[in-house]
Amino acid sequence: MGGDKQFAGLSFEEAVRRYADTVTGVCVMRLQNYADAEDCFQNTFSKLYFKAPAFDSEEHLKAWLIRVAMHECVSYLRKNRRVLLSQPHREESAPFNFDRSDMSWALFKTPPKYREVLYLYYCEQYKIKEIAIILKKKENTVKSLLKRGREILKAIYGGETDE
Amino acid sequence: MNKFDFKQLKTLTAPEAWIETALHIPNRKNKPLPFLLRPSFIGSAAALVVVVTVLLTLRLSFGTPQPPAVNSVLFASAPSEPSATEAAVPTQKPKPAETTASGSQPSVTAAPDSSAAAPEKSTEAAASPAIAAVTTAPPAAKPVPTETQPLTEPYPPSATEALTTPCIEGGDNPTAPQPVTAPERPGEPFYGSLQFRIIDSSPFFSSNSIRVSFFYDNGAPVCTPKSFRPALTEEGVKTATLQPYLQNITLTCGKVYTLQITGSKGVSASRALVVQDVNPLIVYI
Repeated sequence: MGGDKQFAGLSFEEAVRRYADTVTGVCVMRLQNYADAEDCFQNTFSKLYFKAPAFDSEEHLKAWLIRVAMHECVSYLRKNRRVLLSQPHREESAPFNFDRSDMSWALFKTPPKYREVLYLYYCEQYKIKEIAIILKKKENTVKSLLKRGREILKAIYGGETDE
Repeated sequence: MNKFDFKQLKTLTAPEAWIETALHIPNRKNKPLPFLLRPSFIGSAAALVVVVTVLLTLRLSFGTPQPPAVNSVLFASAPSEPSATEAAVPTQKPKPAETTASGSQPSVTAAPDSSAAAPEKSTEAAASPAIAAVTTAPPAAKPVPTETQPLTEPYPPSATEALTTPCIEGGDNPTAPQPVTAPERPGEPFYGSLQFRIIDSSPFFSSNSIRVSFFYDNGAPVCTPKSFRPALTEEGVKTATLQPYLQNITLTCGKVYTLQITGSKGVSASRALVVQDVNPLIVYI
C-alpha cells in the first residue's frame, strides 16, 4: 500500500502514521470541527501523495504538511463560509473529549491567529524562527502573537500562566 | 487561582479511521478531466474565439469605402448608351461634322470628304437622279452604293427624280442635330428611331404624305410599306420619325437595306440605308 513513492525517505504509509497527529492537530485547531477537520486531513495527504514533492528531510516534510493543512483549512472555510455561519453554537461542538489534565480546550477559545502560533509553539515544539518560516511571517510578529496569545489564554483559563 | 500549565497542551491524536482512509489514497485513481474541461481544450477554444473576433473586426473595418462626391457620382452614372425609350430624344447639341467614317469603324457623323463633296453631290444628283443617298458611311465589309453607284433594284428610281439634298446629315448644316452615337453592335436588332428629314429643295418637300418601303439585299420586302406625314419644323425642314421596332419593322444593325420612298405627287426614289446603332438614325431624303 502506498506504492513506491518516497517522501524524505519514508513510504506514504510511514509518512501518514508519523505525521497524522500533527496534521490532525492543525486541522482541528483551525476548524474546531471533527468532520471538517477530517476532510482537510484527507485532502492534505492526498496532495502529498499525488503532488509528491521532493523533500530534503523529515522536518521539511513536516513543515510542508503543516503548511498545506493550514491552506486546506483556509480554503475549506472560504468555500463553506455561508454554511458555517448558518450553524449555531459552532464553538461548542468540540471534536474531542479532553481529559482534565489536557488544557487544549482553552486553545479553542482563542482567536485563530493566536491559536496557530500557540499550538505550533507548545504542542509541536517548534521554535519561533521555524514558526515564522512555516507561517511566512516575521519572527517579531510571531513573538508578538505568542505573547498576546498567552495573555488571552491566561484570561480564558482565569489563572496565572506558568511558563 | 488556577495556573495554566502550557505543558498540559497535548497534541491531538488522529483517529485510526482517518489514518486508514488516508492510507487508501494511493488506491484512488486521479479521475481524468472530461475533454471539454481540459485546460488545453479551453485554451484552444479561447484562442479560436479571439482569432475569429480579431478577423471579424478587421473584416468589418475594411468595408466598402465611402462613395465619391456627389458630382462624381452623377457624372459616372450618366448613360453612355441611350436606351430604347430614349431613342427619339437627341441628347447632344448640334455640332459640325468632325470625324471620318473610314475602315471598319463607320460613324454616323459626316466624313470630311463627304461634306466637302456635298456641293458637287448636289450637282451630280441633278445630273443623275438615281443616285442613292446614304445617311451613314457604309461598313467596309459590305459594299454599299455610293454616290456614283446607282441603285437599280428592286425598284429603279424614275428618271425624273432628282436629289438635291445632301446625303449626310450635318454635312453642310453645322446646326443640324447630331445623333447620339454608340458602339456598333452588328447583328443586334435596331431599337432606335428613324428620322426622315426633308429640306425645302427636296422633291419630297411638297408631298404631304410619304410612303417608305424597306427591302433586303436580295430584294425581299422587310415589311409592308409605311406611310407618314412629315411635319414642318421651325428650321424650315420637314421631319418625320419612324420607330421601326415598334412598328414591326425588324432592322438589324450593320446590315444594308434599300429604302423605296414614294411621295404623294408621284415622286419616288431609292436609298441605301446602313443601319447603325445610332439614335436617332437620320435619313435625308
